[in-house]
Amino acid sequence: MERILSAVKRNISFAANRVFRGAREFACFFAALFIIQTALCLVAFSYDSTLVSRSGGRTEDKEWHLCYVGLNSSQKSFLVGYRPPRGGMDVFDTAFYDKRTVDGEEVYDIYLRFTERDLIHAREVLASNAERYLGAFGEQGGYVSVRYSPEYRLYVKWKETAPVAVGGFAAAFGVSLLFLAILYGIRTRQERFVFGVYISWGADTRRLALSSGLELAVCAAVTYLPAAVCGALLAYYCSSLAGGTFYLALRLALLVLPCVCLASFGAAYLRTRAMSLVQPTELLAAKESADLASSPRRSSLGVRNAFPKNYELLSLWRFRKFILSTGVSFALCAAAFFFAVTCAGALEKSRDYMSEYGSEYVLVLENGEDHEIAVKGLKDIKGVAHVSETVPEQDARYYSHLISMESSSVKKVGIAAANPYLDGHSLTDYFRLCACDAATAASLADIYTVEGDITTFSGGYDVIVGETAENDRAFRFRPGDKLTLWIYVNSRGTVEEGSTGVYKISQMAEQYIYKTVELNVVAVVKDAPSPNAGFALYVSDELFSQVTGEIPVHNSLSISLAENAEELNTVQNIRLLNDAWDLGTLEYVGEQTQNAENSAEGWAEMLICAGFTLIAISLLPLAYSLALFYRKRAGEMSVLRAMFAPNSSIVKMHIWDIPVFFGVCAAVTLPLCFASVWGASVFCDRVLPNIFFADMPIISQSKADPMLFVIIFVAALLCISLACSVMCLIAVREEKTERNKKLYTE
Amino acid sequence: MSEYILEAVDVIKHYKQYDQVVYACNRAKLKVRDGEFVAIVGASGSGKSTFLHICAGLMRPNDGKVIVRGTDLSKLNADALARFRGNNIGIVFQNHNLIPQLTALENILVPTVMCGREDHTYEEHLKKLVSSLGLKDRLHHLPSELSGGQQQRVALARALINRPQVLFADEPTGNLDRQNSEEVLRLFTETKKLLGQTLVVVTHDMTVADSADRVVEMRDGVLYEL
Repeated sequence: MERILSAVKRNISFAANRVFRGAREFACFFAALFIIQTALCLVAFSYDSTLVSRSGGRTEDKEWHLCYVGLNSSQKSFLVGYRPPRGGMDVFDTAFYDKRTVDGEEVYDIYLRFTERDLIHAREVLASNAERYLGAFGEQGGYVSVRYSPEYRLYVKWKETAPVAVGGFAAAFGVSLLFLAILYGIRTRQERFVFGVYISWGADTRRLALSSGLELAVCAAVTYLPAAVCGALLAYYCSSLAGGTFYLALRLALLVLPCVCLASFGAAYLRTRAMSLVQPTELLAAKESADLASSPRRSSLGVRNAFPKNYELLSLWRFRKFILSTGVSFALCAAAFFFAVTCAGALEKSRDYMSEYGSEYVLVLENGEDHEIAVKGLKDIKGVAHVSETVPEQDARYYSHLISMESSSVKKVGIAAANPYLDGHSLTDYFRLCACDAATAASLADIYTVEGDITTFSGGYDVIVGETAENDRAFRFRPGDKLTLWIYVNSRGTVEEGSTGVYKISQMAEQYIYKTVELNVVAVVKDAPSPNAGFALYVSDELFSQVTGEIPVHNSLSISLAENAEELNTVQNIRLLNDAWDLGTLEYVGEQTQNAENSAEGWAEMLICAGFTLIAISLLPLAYSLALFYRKRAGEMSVLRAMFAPNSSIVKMHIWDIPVFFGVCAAVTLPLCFASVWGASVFCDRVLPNIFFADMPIISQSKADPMLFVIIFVAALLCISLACSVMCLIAVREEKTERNKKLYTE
Repeated sequence: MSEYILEAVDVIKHYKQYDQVVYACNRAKLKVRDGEFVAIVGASGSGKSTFLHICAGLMRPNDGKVIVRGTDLSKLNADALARFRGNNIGIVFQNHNLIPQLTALENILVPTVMCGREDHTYEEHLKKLVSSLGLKDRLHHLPSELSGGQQQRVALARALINRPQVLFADEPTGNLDRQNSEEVLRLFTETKKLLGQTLVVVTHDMTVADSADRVVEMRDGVLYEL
């Protein structure tokens, strides 16, 4: 046992020794794995988001809420409503449903007709909220079942997940295999010499496999896991708005790990098998030829029969390494350029967006008017560019509340988007249709016939409900029922449609902070004002304060005038509207705040600088690769010159250089450039707002102009190719002169 | 058991270059006794190194056979040949062939790892080698931090660590200056005396050839006794 342990220890330390000395290779490994892991995670996140967030992604952060399930008025289909993070409420009218009986209960298989965007979160909405609202949630045989009332059972047919998982696994395996094949192809070439030494000093196949496997294991342990974690973190960080979670990313990493291990050890085994068949002298000789453009033996394979007929073209084959490295350098350079241009464009756009307004006014709403109506009215005034709700004090809160569900014993209700300072409700479009106002509800208690003992109604935590169509059909509140009210406490109520970046994140984060209160249904008004109306509740300011601990404050509206607006007329119209509707006090703030603009401009400049620095840095290896290529190429050309090659041969070589160069560069660069444009938009929209939460201006996604892209790309390539040819001609001429000088001197 | 530790019988090795066949070894014959020091000399391209590599089992001949300590190398498969090499043969190359990522000590110990030897089997021998080759202060240096002579000494120590019966050296002084050449030659002869190995050296250096017990010359792939 001791001997075995000692042997294991010796072998591992030997492998670790060798691997750790190759720090550059490590870095390459890490970088490649990191990039792949990040890309995989991002793809997985978006894929997960696009189809179904089956793993419970970011949207579990209570951003989406199932808020309504019920039969529609025609009784022919179900309605499923939920509240998306962007605000408002989406109601899905099902395409159709099947009715059947299960265990004596009527069961409906419902096929929901979601748009692609809505599909992203639908399952999660059901999963994370159904229990809260409905009291029951289950998943059986590919169905998500939601029991929403004693009479009805909702089944949502969902997509099977197995093929998707298999597809993801296959993709991950393919990527890892491809990656390892490339990596080990290069590494094997580099490691031939070491294997030659091993074999010379007695390593058989088993020993080679052991050494190679251990080296690989050490390498994987040191590079793969950190790369996977870092990649997952970065992907998680970049996709805060998508459906990805760190857990999902790690799960993906763990999914890929066995594939990587299999592929690695397969590659290691094949490598050792292949190596063990080669004579050690050949392997050792590889070291001497490593510095050559390529080994003569290999280059002769393809060109032997054609030589010297197509020498000018085929000679390029021997320079393939230089051409490829130059291509990669060019690709990096171009990618950096487009990254910078895209970022700068995005920020420039933000700056333009933010600077297109003229004067700014604030309308303090003092009289409890519905601010949504006020906003609509103000927006209709000519010259008003933008109206937004603002909060005069940092800690000010509005509350909103919304409908909906019931279970058999506890009725749960939330009510949406009401402002406490308004003596009434500002419900969403859907529910506004169903609502009765506070005064009506109050008078109902006195005037209308009630069911139960109306004298016990004391306000506060007691509530009366109207026997509206909605209550009759779905909720069936009866006196004595408990009704849980979810009061949302947030500063905005909704996420503005145009919001992106930090604003969107902050709005989303604030939107669904809620507290609950239990109400007793003390009466049901039989003779509601409109029997077709939906269910409605209202909450007093006192109750809001009791529940949230907040004191409702007055809201204000920020009005930005268009830059080219006739200010006098516009302001006059605003005042007229204000007087007519008795909204509040209009105050002049001044010109559009410059801070945001400056900030955007600062960011744009900084990113442009960073982009050009990147270009400068990537130009160095490009210049180096080109210089190296043309030094070697010029050397060959000058030898040919010395061997009396005609001008036509040299010209032919130059002519062939350009298309080959162009082709290689294009093949490597185009995908990378498009990736960099995509990366830039991710960077601008997600990474930057996450890191610089407070200072970041609104950034809108920007896409590079394809025409500009192609023009710049082609122009740059042509310039580089022509410049290289000229360089080469000069070098040949100089070398020839030097050679002649030397000959004459000697 | 034959009186010869190494027997090369009618060794043929040829290369194909385009449409031409070049014979590196053309029925080359060599017999070496145990403990003998044989030098192979000859012009560049005469096939000396190829012949040495075939004798050392690094390369397989197209025809003929090589017998080392009674074992016909041509009858061994690649794995068995590697194991045989590890246990019986030591090789020193002109360009040292040290692994650049490993220190001098680690390079010396590569054959022990490859042959799976226990630590205690070579520890004493290692100390002796390191001390006699003057490598004590350079054990933890990378090859790039060593001079040519030091690298060659490390290569010699690596070749001797498994106590091979036969030591092959391919122009061991080819890349060294006169002083280092003499030093390496002295080490070869000293270790030969100390360990009693058989030594087969390919060289251009007449000083090395003069120190040998026997000198053979290779001309056009054929060996001639001098």
